[in-house]
Amino acid sequence: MNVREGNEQRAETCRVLRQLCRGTGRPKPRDDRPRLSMGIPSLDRLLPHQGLVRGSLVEWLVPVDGSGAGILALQAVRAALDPAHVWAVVDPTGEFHAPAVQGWGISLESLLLVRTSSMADSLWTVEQCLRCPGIGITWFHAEHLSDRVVQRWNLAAEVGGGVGVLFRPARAAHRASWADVRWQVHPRLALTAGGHRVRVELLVCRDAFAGGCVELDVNDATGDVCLVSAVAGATTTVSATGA
Amino acid sequence: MCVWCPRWPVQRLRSQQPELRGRPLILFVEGRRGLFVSACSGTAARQGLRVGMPLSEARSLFPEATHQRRQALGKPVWMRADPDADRTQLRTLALHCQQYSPIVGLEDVPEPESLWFDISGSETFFGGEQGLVEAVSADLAQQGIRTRIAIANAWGAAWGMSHFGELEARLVSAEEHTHALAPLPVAALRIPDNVIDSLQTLDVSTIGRLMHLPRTSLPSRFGKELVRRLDQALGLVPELLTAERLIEPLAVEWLFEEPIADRQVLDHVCRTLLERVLVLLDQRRAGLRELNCCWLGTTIEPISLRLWRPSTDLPHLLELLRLHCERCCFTSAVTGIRLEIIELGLPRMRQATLFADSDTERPQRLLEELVERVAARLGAGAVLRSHLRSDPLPEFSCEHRPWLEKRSWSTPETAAVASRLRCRPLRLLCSPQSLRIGGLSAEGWPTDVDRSQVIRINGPERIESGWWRGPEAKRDYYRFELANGARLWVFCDRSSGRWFLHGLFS
Repeated sequence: MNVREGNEQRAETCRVLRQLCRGTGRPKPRDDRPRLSMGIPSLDRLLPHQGLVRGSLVEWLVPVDGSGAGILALQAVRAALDPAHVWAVVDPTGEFHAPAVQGWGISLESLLLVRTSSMADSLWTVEQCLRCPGIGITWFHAEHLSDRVVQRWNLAAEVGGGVGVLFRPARAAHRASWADVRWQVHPRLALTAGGHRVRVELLVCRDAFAGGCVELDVNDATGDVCLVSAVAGATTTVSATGA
Repeated sequence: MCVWCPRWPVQRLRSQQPELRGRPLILFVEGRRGLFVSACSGTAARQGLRVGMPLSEARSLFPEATHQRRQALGKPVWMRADPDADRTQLRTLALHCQQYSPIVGLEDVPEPESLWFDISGSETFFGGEQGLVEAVSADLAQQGIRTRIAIANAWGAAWGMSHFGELEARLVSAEEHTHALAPLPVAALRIPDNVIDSLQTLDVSTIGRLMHLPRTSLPSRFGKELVRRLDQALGLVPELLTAERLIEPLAVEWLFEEPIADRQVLDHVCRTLLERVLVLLDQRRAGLRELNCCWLGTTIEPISLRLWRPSTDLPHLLELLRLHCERCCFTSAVTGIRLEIIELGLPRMRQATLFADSDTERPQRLLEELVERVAARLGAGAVLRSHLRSDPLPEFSCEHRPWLEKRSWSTPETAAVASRLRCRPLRLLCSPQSLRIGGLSAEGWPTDVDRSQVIRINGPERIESGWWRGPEAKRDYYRFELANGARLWVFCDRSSGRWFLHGLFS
């Protein structure tokens, strides 16, 4: 990296930091908005308000495609949907497989599938869905997103009152985001077959100092998502030997 | 007068696609027990094909024939039936036939093949009933449609004569009405198949024999439907004919003095025309459901604007029109704009009370507007509803239909088990991709996929299906867990032994 590039990157970081400071400093009545469960109690406990705020963006950072973040996010979809709201999936690749959703207790009647053919159409559609009060959850996989786009989505979600669920590659963790909550998924090897284990880390929660991580076991056969019991801390040598 | 178009779905397709003429044509539909034949051409019927036959059995009647035989028969054409298109085309034909009688309608059955004419008084313009029959027959024959026509005093009698009479055109006078019906089979009464079977068991095969039976015993033995149909055929009971009506087109038009290409001008004119359309709708107390916008003097495709619910909301309609226009590429100037109303409907009802419960209505209304907006920009086929299908092959296990399409959805016979669906990936590749395998174990299992070690393999789930669509799918599905954390849904093709990636548990 040459000096010029380094300066540009530093300037960009400063600009984003200034924006973030302005964002966190504004007096917004966010706490008045209704809460929404993540569908997994252990994830709710990591959040400062025991759940998501309606009208917000949630980012899931996935290290590799097929790491199971979508199944975790589905738990929140199941908890958020009611007869008055639908779940919009913006699917530019045409690879979203709806039958898998029904297995996790979500009726396909509440699914609005939008197949787009260009990135511009996808971004426009996501914004329209976020802005609509009839949409409870807007679901989108994105490789590259500019801050400006996510900022627009953030404002659109505040207007619409729904929740935007974005899946982004883990390398986006190094970039600032306008998302209200940011989770990172780390796949782990499950001890038994028929399920998978993931470590979920809360990276960012806007307007609050929050963090932490949990390990979850997802059982495909029963549909349960359980917290993995933490191993007790090692005892000291003195007490262990009884001396 | 009854005009029957035998094998109407086949005739309809052949009149629209002349290249199908002379070749065996088989139409099929999907039923509860798979695909079956719904209609076939005469050539196919002579090969032993019957309506209601399973498609697989029908295909076996057309094996890979010898070259000479194929040349003699023609290569068979297999097509999915489209009952909606059949009905629509028959309605168009009914409207066309209104030059012979002002009252022309379709027979009242789910899949009609006949037209009914009320020719009272109109036959004099064609030199009598015989002249009218000849005129209609010649006109339809010119369009490539074969017909059988009968004129009688009752609709039921005319229907029976046209379907089961010996002649292609039959005129039955009032005096010989009963006498002419007597030799016809009981099926000419339009009665259910089970009643026909019951009558034939008793050797009552013709209407004449049926009329000899004591009338009082018929309802208790064969049901009331038989007596009603018999009376309708004899003209003792009136029968309702719903005539097709040519709807007066509602359209507004703006012609420019010289061709215009400026988008702002076009937008302004569109707005003006839309306001005029709404005035027309207001006079009819109706809302707009479907609208066509034609660009005159150019080859640009007309815009078809279809709404979820009829609307009179000018800003919303303008926005939809603008979004549609964004997809248009104006390569040449426009000499005029024409807006045609295709479908009307009752507009949205607005709550008039002071304390309306807007909390429940508003999200639904805004959702409908969103769907219309997104469909306007991306196309109606991009905004979809999903529905499970009872097909074991993953790529056919879900059906997508446009959200704006209001059609009832049939529920699969067997509800899919939730635990089985949870084993399906959230991301299913559009077509299976060959798996990039780094190495194989001694037992033949992949040990390395995409440069990542395979940690665990769960399975198999064997799926063998789809032989009626072509090559049979023989697959063993497995869930692969890789060292990098990815979980893949792969299958081994049992025919070739090759491995394919079909989905990811995202």
